[in-house]
Amino acid sequence: MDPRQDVVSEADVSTVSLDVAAVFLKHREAMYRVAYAMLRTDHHNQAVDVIGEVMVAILKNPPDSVGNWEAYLVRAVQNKIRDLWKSAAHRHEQLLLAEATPTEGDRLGGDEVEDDPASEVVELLSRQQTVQTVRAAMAEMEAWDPQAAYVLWQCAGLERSSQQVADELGISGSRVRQIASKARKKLISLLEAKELHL
Amino acid sequence: MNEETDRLLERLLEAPPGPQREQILARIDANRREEALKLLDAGDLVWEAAHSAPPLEKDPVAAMLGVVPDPNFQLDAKALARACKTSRVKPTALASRLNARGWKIDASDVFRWQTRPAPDVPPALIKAIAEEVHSEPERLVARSQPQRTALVEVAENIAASPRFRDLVQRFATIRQISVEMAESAMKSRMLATVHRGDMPDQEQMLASLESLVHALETEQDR
Repeated sequence: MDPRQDVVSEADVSTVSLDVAAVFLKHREAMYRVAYAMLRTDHHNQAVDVIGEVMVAILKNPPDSVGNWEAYLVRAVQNKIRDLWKSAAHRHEQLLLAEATPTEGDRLGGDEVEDDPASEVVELLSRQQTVQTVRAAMAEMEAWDPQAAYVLWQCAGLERSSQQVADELGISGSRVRQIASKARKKLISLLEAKELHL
Repeated sequence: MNEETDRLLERLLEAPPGPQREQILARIDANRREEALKLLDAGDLVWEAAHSAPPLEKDPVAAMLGVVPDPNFQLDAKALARACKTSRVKPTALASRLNARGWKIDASDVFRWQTRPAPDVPPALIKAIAEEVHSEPERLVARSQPQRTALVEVAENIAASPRFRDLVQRFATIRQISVEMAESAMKSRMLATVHRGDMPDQEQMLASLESLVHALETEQDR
């Protein structure tokens, strides 16, 4: 038996290219988050379709060398969405969206194509941690007041109207708005207790 | 005045991001604007928390890439142990090589795969393992009976059609994978796509696969 076959030298490893499937598995959360945020008010495009197209393009033309896959994939998703918006069919919507969502791009790594990819990823990861803190705070709220947590999740998280939620719960729309408002305040205080200040 | 602001605040919190939201915000008293912004931020964070990647088994992109475990394409412990022995690749070495390809694998995982059934290993990882032990994915796979659900039956009916066979062949050619792996990926994708909405009919499922294969072929031709 050749003992050299049992170890992987650095040279071996460096010649191995990353599997696109493995890279996707590792970074799909970041890709989806960026796509969802950018497409929040876009009723024509879906995150899963955009990401599918990005991955198909990468499968067919794998990049030569990528220093930071997360930044690369996030940028690819952003560019794909911008391309869609620039297309003639969506020019009008793009104008509205540019006006409509001035903060999303900043939150998730910036709108400028020339941004530093590394800083984008740092910002993205930090935002991801913030969202995890929010999930933890929502779990606490669930224990404190399940109805408040439910109403907030439905209204703010899933963007259902207060009337839809009211009809479901058999209460008035104004009562839902009161509960949602109280829940937002409670969330802010829970986040502040976790040293996350809005 | 305070009631008016309260009403505006309620409307603000119902408004989606965009010009309407900005207009309402501008009408809110300056001394309550900071509070309004905080409430908006809290809502936006909840929105973000509610919008994360779909579960793996419901993600059509993951299915297309073969990262959704497939009960019909499971790693066979004995076959893997045999292949490792033949190729003289030890678990630690195999784990290192897979890590170098981007998979998060410990040597303990490889030991487990060699001794117990591993339903969590997806087809794309089986392909990577096969390449590292100089084998073919199909040689490392144990066939098992699929669970019969209504949805699986629909997928099986589609899988038996000549049109699906043709799509599988084309997908296998483009992705340079075996027909079995291509079939696994396309079936997983069909099932994942169904979870996105109502149960589609066979024609819709085939059309969705057709557009995927066509997109890949188009990219290839560029």
